[in-house]
Amino acid sequence: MTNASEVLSSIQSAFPAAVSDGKVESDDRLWVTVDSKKIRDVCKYMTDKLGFDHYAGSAGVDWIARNEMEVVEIMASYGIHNVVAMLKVKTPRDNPSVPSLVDMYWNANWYERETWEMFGINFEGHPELYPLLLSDPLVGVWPWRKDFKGYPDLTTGERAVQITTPEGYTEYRFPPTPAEIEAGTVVTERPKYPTFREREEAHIKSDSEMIMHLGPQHAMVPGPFLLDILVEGERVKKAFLDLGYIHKGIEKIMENRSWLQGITYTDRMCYVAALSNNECYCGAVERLLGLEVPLRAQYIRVILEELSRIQSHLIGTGEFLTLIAGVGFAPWQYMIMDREKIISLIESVTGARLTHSFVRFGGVRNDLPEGFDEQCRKVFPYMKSRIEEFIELFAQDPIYHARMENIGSISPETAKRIGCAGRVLRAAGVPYDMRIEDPILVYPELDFKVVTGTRGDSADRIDCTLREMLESIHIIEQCLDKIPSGPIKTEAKIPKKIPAGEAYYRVEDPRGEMGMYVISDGGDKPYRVKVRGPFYATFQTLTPLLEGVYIADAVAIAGSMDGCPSESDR
Amino acid sequence: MDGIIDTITQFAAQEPAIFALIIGIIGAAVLSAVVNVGAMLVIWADRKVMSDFCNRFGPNRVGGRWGILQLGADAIKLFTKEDVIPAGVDKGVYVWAPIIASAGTMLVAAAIPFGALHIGGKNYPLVVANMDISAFYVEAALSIMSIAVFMAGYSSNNKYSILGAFRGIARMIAYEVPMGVCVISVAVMAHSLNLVEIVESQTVWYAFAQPLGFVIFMIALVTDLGRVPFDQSEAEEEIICGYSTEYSGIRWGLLYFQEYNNFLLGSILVSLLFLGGWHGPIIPIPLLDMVSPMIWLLMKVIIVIWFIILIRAALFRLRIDQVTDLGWKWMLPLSILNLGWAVIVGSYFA
Amino acid sequence: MLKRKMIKNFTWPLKTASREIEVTRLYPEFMMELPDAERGIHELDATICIGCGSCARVCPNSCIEMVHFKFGNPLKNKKMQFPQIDYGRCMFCGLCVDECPVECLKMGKKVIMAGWERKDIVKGPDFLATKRFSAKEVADLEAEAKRIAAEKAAAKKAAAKDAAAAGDKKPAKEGANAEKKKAVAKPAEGGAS
Repeated sequence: MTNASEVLSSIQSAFPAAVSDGKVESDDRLWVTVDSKKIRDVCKYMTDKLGFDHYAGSAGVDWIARNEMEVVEIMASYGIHNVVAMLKVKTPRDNPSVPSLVDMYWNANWYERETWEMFGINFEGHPELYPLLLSDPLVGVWPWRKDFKGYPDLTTGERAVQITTPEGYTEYRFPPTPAEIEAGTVVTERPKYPTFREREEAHIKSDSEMIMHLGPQHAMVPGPFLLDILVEGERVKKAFLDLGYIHKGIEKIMENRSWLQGITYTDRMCYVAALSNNECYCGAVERLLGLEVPLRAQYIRVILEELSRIQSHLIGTGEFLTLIAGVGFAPWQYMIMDREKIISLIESVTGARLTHSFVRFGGVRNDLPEGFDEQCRKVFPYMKSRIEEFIELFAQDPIYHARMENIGSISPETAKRIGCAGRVLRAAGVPYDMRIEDPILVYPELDFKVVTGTRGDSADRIDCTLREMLESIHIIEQCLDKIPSGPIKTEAKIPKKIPAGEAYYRVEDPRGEMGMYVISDGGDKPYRVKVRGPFYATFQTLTPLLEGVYIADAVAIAGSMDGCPSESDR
Repeated sequence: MDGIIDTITQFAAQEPAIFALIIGIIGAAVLSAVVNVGAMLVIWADRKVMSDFCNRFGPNRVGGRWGILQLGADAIKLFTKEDVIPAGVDKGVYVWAPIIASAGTMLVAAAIPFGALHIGGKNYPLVVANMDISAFYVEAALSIMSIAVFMAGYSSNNKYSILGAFRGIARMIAYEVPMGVCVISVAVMAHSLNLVEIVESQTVWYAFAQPLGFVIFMIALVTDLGRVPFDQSEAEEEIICGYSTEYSGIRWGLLYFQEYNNFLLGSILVSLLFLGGWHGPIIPIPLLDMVSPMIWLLMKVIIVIWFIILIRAALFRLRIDQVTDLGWKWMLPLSILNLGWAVIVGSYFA
Repeated sequence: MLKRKMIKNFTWPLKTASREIEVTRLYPEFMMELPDAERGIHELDATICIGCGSCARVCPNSCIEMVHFKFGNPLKNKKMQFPQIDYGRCMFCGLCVDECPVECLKMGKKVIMAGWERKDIVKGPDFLATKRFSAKEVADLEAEAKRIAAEKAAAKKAAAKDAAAAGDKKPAKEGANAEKKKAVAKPAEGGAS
C-alpha cells in the first residue's frame, strides 16, 4: 500500500526541479507545490505510475498578501490506495494563468470554469471557459478575490437604475460614478464569449429540431437548474446544462463569518443531508486544531449521519418516483411517511427537522435523549420490512423495468473517467465508498458492506439506494450496541482564532464523496473554504448521458441521480 | 296545475317543431347538468380514493368532514379567474378546443342509457337517443376528445403543448382500433349494436363470456381517458401539463372536467357492455323496485371507477413509444383473436 | 412480462386503504408533539442574565440586539441590558443558547409566531423573559447594589486615607506597612464586593 511519504518521494525524484514545499500531514494527506509549467506532466505521472486515477476537484485561492494566486488540484484514487494529494500551482496575481487539465481528466471542466469566473485565473487550453455559476453581467468582476468590493462596488444598491429591455423584462444597470470616470477605471470591455442561448442554438441543424426546457421553472425538478434538451420529435439529440440559479455564495460568506458561525452555513448547502455537511466542516477544523473527539460523541455523530442518510435516500427516491409515475403514485407517499419517523428521531436529538447545526468542533451539541435507544429499535424493524417491500415492489413490476432498465447505463470505466460520485458510481460497479476509503470517526470498528450494482442503469441506482438504507440501519444498530457513556464535547477550549494551516476532510455524504478544504491564516475567520460537493461531480456527467434517449428517459436519468442542485451551486 | 298542462299540450299540438326544440334544449341542459355534476363527484371520488390509498384524508374541509363541496369551491375559483389568452396562440382554435371537448362529451352522453326504470315488469331505459348503432356511435364519439386535445395542444404556441398534442394523437390512434374491435365482438354476441339491446341480452355477463375482450377493452378505455399509466399527453412531469399548459381559469377547468366526464361515461359504457348493465334482482320495496336497475348500474359504475383510480395509484407511467408498441403489437392482434372467439361462440348460441 | 406480475402494485395500496389510518395531522386543531430538544422560540431567564452580549456577538444573522429592560437583576447585569431577537431573521440555529455563559437563554417548544408587520415579530426581553423579577424585587436588588457600591466606595476611601496617613507618619516603614495595609484592605474589599 502506498502512503503519502512514498508518493512524495516518488514525485520528488521524478521531477526534482518542478516540485517544492512538500509536506506530509499524515499517512494519507500530502501537500506539494508544483511549478505551473510542469503540472500536467506531474499529474500524468501520478495517474499512470502512482495510481491516482481520481481527479477530485480543484480550488482557487487568492493569497493577496503574497501577491499570488494558487490553484490546488486534488488528486485521489479509486480504491488503489488512500492517499489524497493536493497539488498547488502558484501563479502571479496580475495575470493569473494555469495550464488546464481538461484533456487529461474529463471532469476537470466545471472546476476550472468555476475557478476562472470567480478568481479570474485563466486556464490555458480549456475548450469552453464560459461562466457557470454567475450570470453574464458578473463576468469580469471576479467575485471571490479578496479585494472584491461588491458588484459593481459597495454603493451598488444606491446606483441601480431600472431599465426595461425591448422584450419587456426589467433589468438593472449601474452607471459609472464620476470618480470612476475620472480615474479611468470604468470597465467597458467585458470578456467576449457567446451567451448560453447562442451556444445552444448553434447546435440546431434543421427545422424539425427544437430546444425544450426542463429548465429552471419546471413543475418537477428538485431544485432550480437549467436543463435544455435539443429534441427532434421525441428523441433528445443534445442536452445543455447550466447552474447557478441557487448560488448563494456560501464559500465567500464563510470567509466573513467566524468559525463557529460557519457551521450554520454548511447546513444550508445540501439541506437534505445537513448533518454530513456539518461533519465535513467540523472535521476539517478539528484537523486544523488537532482535536480529538470523545468516543461517545463520535458514536452519536455516526448514528445521526446514518439516520440522515436514510431520510435523504427516502426523499431522493420518492421524489424520483413522482417523476416517472405521477404524483398519484402511492409508494412514494409511503416513503415520505416513513421518512417522517426518521426525521422525528433526528428531531428528538438535534431539535430541528432540516437544518440541524448539530455537529460542533470537538463533539456534538446535545446528547441522545432518554429512550432514544428504544425508539430507534422500535422503528428499525418497521423500516427494514418497508424497505424490503419497496425492493420487492420494484423487482416485480414490469412497467418499472420497461422504464428503468438499460436507461442511462454507465460502465465502470466510464464512471471512473467522467468522475461521477456516490450511488451513480457504485451502481456502475465501482466499490468506492468514503466510509471505507477514508474512514473517519468510528467507521473502522463497524461492519458493513458497500452496495454496488452491475449494470449502472437507473434501476440499479434505485436498487443501490434502497440497499444502502438497509446497511445504514445495520450500522446504527451496531452503534447503539457499542456506544459508551462519556462526555459529548471535548474538554479542551476551542480558541477563537484557529492556528494557521490547511486541512482537507472527506465524508460520505448521501450523494457521494464530499470534501472540504479549509485554509486558516491564524485569524478568527476562515481564509478559504472550498466545498467539493458530490452532486457537482455527478451533475457534470448528465449531458453526455442524455444524448439519444427519449424525453421521458431524460427525466428518468436525471432523477435517478438524486440531485440536490443547492449543493452543487453552494 | 291542470291549466299549465293544458297550455303545454295545446302548444305542443300547434307548434310541434318549436315544442320539440324547447324540450330538446331543456333536456340537453338537464343532461349536461347531471353529467357535469357527475363528473364533479368523480373528481371528488378520485381525490378521496387516491388519498385513501396513501393514508391521507383528501378534501376534508369544504362541505363538512367529507369535503363534498370541494369541487364546487374549485369551480367557483376557476370561474372567477382572469381570462388570459397568451399572445401568439391561434385564437380561434385555442378558444374552440374546450368547447369541442364539452360538445363531444355531450354527444356521448346523448346515446348512453343511464339506467332503466322497472315499471310493471318491463324495463324502460333512460336514454336520450335510442339509436340502433348506439354502441358504435358512443365508442366513436368518445374519441372526439382527442380532436380537442390536439386542437388545444397545437394552438398553444408552446413546446410542451405540442408534444402533449402529438402524444395524445399517437395514443388515441393506437387504441381506437382495439376498442372498436372489442365493441364489435360484444355486438356480435348480442346480435345488435343498440346498447339497450346489448344489456338486455346479457344473461351471462360478457365479462365472463369474452374475458380477453373485457381485459383489452378496460386497458383501451384507460388509455382513451388519458389516465395513468397512459397519461403521457397531459398532467405530467416532463411536459408540465401537456396540452393544457397554456390554459388557465375556466378554459382549463372545462378541459379538465371533460376528461373526467369521459371517465364517467366510459365507466358506464364498460358496465353496460361487459358487466350486465342494469341487470340484477329487483328490490321488493315499493318505490325502490322502480329504480333498482339504476341502483345496480350505479354500483357497477362505482366499482369500475374505483378500480381505475386504483390503477392510477398503483402503476408507473409508460413511455409513449411503449404505449404505441403495446397498442399495435399486442392489443390489436389479441382483440382480433377475441373477435374470432366471439363469432364462434355467438354463432354457436345463435 | 409474465415473470413479473404486478400483483404487489395493487395489493399494497389495497392493504393500506383497508388497514391503516390516516397520518395527516389535522393542523391547527391538532398540534404535533415536539421533543424536549426542540429549538423553538427563545425563553430568557432575566434573573440570571448578566448582559454580556455573547449571544448578540455569535448570532450569524445579527438578529440579537441588547436593549434595556427593567425587570432584571441589577446585581449581575450592571447595565440592565437583555437580548432582543428579531424573528424575521432568526434561523433557530441555537448558537446563542450554546454561547450563553450562564445558560439563561434557552429555546422552548413554541413554534408559532405571526405578526402583521415586520416590527411585530421583533421580540424584546419583555416577550422573551419567562422568569423575571417583580418591580419590588428589582427595587430591593437595586438597593442592595447601591449598598454594596457604597461599601466599596467607603472601603476604598478608608484604604486611601490609611495609606496617606501611613505615608505621612512613617516614611521609613512606608514600603512594608503600606503594602501590609494594602494587603489587608484588599481582602476587605474583596469580601464586600
